[in-house]
Amino acid sequence: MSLEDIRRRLGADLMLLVCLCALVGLEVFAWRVAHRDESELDRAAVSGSAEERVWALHILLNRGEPPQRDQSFVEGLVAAEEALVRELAMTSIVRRHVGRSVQRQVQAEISGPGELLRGRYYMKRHGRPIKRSFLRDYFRSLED
Amino acid sequence: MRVHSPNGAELDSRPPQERQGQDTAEIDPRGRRLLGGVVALGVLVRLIFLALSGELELWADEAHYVQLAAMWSRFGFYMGSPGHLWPPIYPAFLSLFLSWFGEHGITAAKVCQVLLCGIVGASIVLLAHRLFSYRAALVAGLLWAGYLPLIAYSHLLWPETLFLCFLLPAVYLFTTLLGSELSPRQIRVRLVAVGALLGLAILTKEAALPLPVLFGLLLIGSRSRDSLGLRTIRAALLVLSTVVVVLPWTFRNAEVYGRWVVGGSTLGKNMHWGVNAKYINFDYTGSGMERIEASEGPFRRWLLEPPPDSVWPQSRAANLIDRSNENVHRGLGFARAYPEFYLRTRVKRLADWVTPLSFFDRHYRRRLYQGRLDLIGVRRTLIGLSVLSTMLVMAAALPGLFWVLPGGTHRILLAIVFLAFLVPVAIIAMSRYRVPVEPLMLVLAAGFFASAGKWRGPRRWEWAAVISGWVALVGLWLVNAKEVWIELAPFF
Repeated sequence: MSLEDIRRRLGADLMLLVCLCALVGLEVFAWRVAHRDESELDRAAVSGSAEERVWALHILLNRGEPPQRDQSFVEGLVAAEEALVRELAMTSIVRRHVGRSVQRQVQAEISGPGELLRGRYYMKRHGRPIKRSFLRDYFRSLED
Repeated sequence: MRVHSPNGAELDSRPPQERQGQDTAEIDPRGRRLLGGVVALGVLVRLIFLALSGELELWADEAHYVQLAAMWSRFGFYMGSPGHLWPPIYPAFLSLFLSWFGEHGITAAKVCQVLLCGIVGASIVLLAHRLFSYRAALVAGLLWAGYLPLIAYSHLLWPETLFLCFLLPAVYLFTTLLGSELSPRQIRVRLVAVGALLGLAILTKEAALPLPVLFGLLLIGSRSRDSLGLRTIRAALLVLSTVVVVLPWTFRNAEVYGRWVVGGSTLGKNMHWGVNAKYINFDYTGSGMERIEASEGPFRRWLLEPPPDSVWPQSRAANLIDRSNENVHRGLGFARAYPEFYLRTRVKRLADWVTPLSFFDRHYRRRLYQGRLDLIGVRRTLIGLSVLSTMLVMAAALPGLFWVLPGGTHRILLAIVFLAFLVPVAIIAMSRYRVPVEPLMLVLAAGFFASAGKWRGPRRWEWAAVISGWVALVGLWLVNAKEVWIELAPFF
């Protein structure tokens, strides 16, 4: 049976509906392929490249995973977080714009994985909404 | 086929049912150029405001959007924020410009927003022409060109402009699907386009989430020669087109949060702000709110008097989605525990939804506009214009809907869109939540103004609907009149 036969039997509207359903099916398949389970995330957070660590950390933080893992995993997370701060080139900028007390608080949270895993440090780190001048400094620091 | 002349002299004398379904092909080239000119004028006005507003400081959510965009631009993925799960398109839009233009990315994004406003203007003009007449299209275009509450969003970093770029073409295309003589192929293409545009709208602001289903139901229930089966298949086409667009984002959320979230997750936070003992309204400035509370009269006190010790705290669950869901439960529990307080405050929230204030004058009240825009004469004129035009458009939209627009599917369609964006009043309200329907108000107001009293003989209930609508509107404005004056007075 040719495609034209199917189209004639189903009618063009139903044919399009089937095509859209197939597209949804493809999306489900692509997600299943791309899905990373916990062990893969753990591995990426501990021993992946800087980008992989940041990516894995972001998912673990958002999922709000409880800190029930071994020490090496926690150390990996801490390292990833430090890389994140460094990568964002915010350490010096945070100090300039938000103040040293918040900066120290951030450092304290980095060393406390419980707090880290709650994922609430972002707000505390920035303390207040960023300004245009912050953004300017941020992009200039990237250029440096 | 009638040809409309650009001077608009000949109001279409056909019965309204026949008038519906007009296409731009019916406008002569000079008329089309004139409508195009009006849209270009609107874009030009917005460009002038962008230039005059200069390098505006980021405010509230603007800063959060920029932060999300900067992180996306740096790492190549949407990192999210700890407080909200916002849909991804606007941060992605900003992120693109930050990646391309660095620190000038914000200005570039604003220029792009201004140009995208052309889509908004064109949709408004086309919709007014389709629902009413050529003259209404012209009036709607001119109203839009100078409507300050919408102009503001072209140079502010909120997703409203982008959202309207998806929503309004979807609404316009959907009107062409109702009762017009399109070929089956054209119908299929437009169904997919409407579904996809609504999907993109959902990925910009999740408030559009109910629309695909409501549009689908309207298709099934519309008067048509097609069989019920075919109408159902077409409704499914529309909804599935939306699903195809939204699904990858839903899977991303399942991956990142371990929870199923279709659009965004802001309901819990809004519940905390809007269904709680303390009154919060983001249209007001901090100092304005202090003055309002200091001069509170007995009516306002009665309206907002909370039950004692009833403030509920936000959930502290580790997972953002769980936190939001828990907040929703707490908010619902609060509304059930204090139904009388909840209903009282809904009157206030409804008044907040129809408030004549807007983010345009809020930017003035927060002293964020500088330079020429802040010259005292300019400031007074613009704030006054913004407030008066908002009130005028809201008041004129009512007779546009009930006296001029013929009853039937188009009126139901507009009512559905209005209701979909009015429902958040059950949770929280401010002028920004009205923005998605303000272009439709402009269209309806233009229909009313352009008809110049030549109404189609409204029925008694339609008269009653408009009169009672006006009474309700004036009543709600009076609820907030003192607050609005306290906010605005220092700037006159």
